[in-house]
Amino acid sequence: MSTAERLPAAAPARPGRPRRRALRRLPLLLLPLAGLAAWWLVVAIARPREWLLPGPGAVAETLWDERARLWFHAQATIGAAALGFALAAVVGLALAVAIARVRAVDRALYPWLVASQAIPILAVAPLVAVWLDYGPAQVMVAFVIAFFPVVVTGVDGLRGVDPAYALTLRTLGAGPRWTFLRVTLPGALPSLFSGLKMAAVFAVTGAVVAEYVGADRGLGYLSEFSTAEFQTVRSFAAIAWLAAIGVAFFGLVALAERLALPQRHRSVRPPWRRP
Amino acid sequence: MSGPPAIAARDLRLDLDGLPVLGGVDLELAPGELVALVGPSGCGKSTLLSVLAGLREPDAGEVLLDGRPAPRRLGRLTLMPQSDALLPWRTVAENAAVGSRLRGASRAAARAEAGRTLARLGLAGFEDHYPHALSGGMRQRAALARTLLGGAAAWLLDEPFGALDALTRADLQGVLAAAWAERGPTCLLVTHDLDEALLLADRVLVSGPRPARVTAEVAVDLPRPRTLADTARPQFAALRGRLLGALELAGALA
Repeated sequence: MSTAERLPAAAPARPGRPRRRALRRLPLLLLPLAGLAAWWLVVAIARPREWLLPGPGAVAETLWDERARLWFHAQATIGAAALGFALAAVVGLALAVAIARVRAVDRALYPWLVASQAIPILAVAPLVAVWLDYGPAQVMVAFVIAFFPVVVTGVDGLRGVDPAYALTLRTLGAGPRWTFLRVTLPGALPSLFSGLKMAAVFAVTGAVVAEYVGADRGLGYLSEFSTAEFQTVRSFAAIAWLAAIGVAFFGLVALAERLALPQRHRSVRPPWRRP
Repeated sequence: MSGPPAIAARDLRLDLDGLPVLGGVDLELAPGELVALVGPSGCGKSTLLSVLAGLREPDAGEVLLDGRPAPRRLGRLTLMPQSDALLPWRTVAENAAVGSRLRGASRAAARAEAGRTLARLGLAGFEDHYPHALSGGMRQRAALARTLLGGAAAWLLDEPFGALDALTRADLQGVLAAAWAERGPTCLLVTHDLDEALLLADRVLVSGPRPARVTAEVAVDLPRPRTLADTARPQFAALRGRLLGALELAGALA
């Protein structure tokens, strides 16, 4: 009993000279680099008209030259997506708790929730745009598309927590409220975070879809009218922005996950979090 | 036996999904006594423990603690399950200290107490580790620390070492015996390992296949402390033979 019984840490810090680390990261860049190269080759060889397919260089130029305009529209998309995501997280978790804890809610609501997801969002988005103002409409569509993964992963997470935890702690004097808040809810977090990561990306998609069908601002709106004006290069620039926003949203949730679930990434509690 | 039994069960009966799981369980544990209950897998031993702990009510019969009926007994008998049930997002010290915290101890006091108990159980230096970084044996040591620090006067041990390899199990049996000798809790140890029962218990109760009920009892009059070497002694072999006979009679070895 000492070092012999001690298992290797779950995620050992990989030894890394900077050069080897750079090599390991190479696969991450492989796909975009290959895509860029293929795109550049197609444009260089076929020489399509710029409104049909602009080259990477032209898009990069537009990203820089029209940065103020792109940022103006990006702010609207980011705002709508963030608000929609926040709503989806709160409402989705509340629904998940209700479904997982109350049998009647499970029976009465869950099947309809699943059925509602079969309605194509593209068909509903124009209606939402008619019913609501620009702005709320984007938030609403982002919310509707993002809350479903939160509910499903939340329900699965809450139901998947090993009952042995709660039972054992009940015999140590923990009440049902304590076990829910300190055992069931934290136990559902790993699953819930999977849903939140999906929801973060879906929220951006939802906001953009709603901008396509009715808005006066936003990257979806910008992309839509740029295409209509044969300003394909600007549309591409807007899409590049959207991709970056999606990655950023995902990354922020992944970061929150790392902070909330330190035990997944470390074997020892980090010193700065010790009492 | 002086005074009322610490734990007593009177004719406990329980059906689950139409199947009788507890078929009239009667047992009595004197204060500070360590009693083992052996029986085949799936005979309802774990269900019996959850009824005794107060996690589940029986269809009929009653549980008495210190001689009095105890309908609200949840929290008075601490369960130690085979799966250590350590919360993966809490460190070893936080897991061990959960009982003290629930009783209102301050974080610092609970942690200090947990640190001392963990050190005595051979886990010094692992206070800030998460459970997944520990071996199965170390995790059960941490679970034992949590049980010790829970402060209850009675422990219900549900095959606590069933998932460990033979050497680690022998090691942990020694740790449990020492902790029991020091604290003197009343213990009901459910196991299907006859040697474990004979090494640890004052008495061994035998249950047949489902529904669980006590069909025989073997007193273990071996001196303590007992070690793995004792399992080769003739008295030990005789007791093991009596247990096997009782299990066979109960229909457990069909």
